[in-house]
Amino acid sequence: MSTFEELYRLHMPVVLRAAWRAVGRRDVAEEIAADAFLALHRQLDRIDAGQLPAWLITVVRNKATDHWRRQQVEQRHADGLVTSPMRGRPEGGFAPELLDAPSLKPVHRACLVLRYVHGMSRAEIGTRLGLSDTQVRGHLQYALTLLRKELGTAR
Amino acid sequence: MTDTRRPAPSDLEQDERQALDALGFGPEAIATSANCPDPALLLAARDAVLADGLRDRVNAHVAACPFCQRLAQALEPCYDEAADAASAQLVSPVRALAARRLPSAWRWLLPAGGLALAASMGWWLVTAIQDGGPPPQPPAQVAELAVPTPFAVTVLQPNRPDIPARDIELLMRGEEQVGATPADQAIDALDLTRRGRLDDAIRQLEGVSARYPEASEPALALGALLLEAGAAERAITVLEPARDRASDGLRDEFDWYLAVAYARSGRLNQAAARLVPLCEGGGPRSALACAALDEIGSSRATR
Repeated sequence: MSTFEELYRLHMPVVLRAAWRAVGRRDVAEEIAADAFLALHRQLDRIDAGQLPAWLITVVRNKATDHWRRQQVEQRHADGLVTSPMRGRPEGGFAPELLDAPSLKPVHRACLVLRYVHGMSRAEIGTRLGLSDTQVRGHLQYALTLLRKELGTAR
Repeated sequence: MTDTRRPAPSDLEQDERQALDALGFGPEAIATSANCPDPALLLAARDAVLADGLRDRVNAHVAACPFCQRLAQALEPCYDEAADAASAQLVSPVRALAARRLPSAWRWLLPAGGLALAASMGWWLVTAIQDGGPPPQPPAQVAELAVPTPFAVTVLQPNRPDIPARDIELLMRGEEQVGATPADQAIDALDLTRRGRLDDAIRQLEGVSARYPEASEPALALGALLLEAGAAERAITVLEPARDRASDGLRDEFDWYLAVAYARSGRLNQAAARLVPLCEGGGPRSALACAALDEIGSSRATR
């Protein structure tokens, strides 16, 4: 029979991935993952190892749902929809075509959209993507340099 | 139609402005729409952890919005990569604990490493005090790591459900000088936690502590249960005054729970101050204390 530590080492990566995708923030994702393993620890004698990591993922999904409810994001967005419906295309000028640049890696694309479409600070982007402020700054600089090169080539 | 444009980020720097100018985008072009949903909702909607109504609206928006489509595609590998890096950090302290079972020379190398870290931590605290100012505070990122991860998860939480009810009871029964009254009443209260009645146990222990203000055992049990209930600050106010009147055997336990409480309330300096003597003392909490110090030291080293 596997020990709790073995199960933790084995399943933590996939559990944290699921949590991060579900809530989009490192701090909340880690809290949810920790809660899932705490629940596992409490019921370790009743859970068959073959049920893992599906059992943990289910706990994560339930806790993520609770998180969104708790944050009242659903209500806030539902209210917002009445006066400001989500439209198909932002009004900004940062051309979406530029974001198709093949040299951009996902992290560059994510940083560009979060900063210049969502107007986030570097610190906020770091929280979302699990990066330091310096890393975000570096990714943005590199992404803008790449875009400039591609734009020059296209012209 | 109301203006739904967000202002450009207020912290744009000179080189950032120049790069954007070179691309042909001025500040007015960077000011963007507020119509897009919070990015955290994009994958949550796809993975169906949102309520149906919101999920449908988000998915409908994404289907028509090129920015959100690209962001959703980009976020997935970013999240996965970040989660894998964070997992590696979270799992490493567990390996350190498991290493206690390692054979031969590694057995003495690990405590030696722990002692070296503890000494470093002590030196760091001493120099901070000698500088005259307050000890340097860990960055917010490190404080976040302490509550609830990875320190709390890997070192503390795996034991958490069992520690108060089992370990403290054993400790109390092992204390020869403890009379039947306060310790036994505390044990009765701890029994309630086995039946899932944490709040009742806390209330009962508050009563026992009030009746026997000179007894340290009920305060220790109360502090541990308050921690389990997530009330770290209250735990500190209960544990701190009772620690000094505790017997030698229980004082390490007070220090351990105080370290946990300080860590969970984000005060890593005070947590480290409690952990250093525990780590060096070689008692039952020594390995956990060294691992916790290791964790705090690693967090600071990666600043």
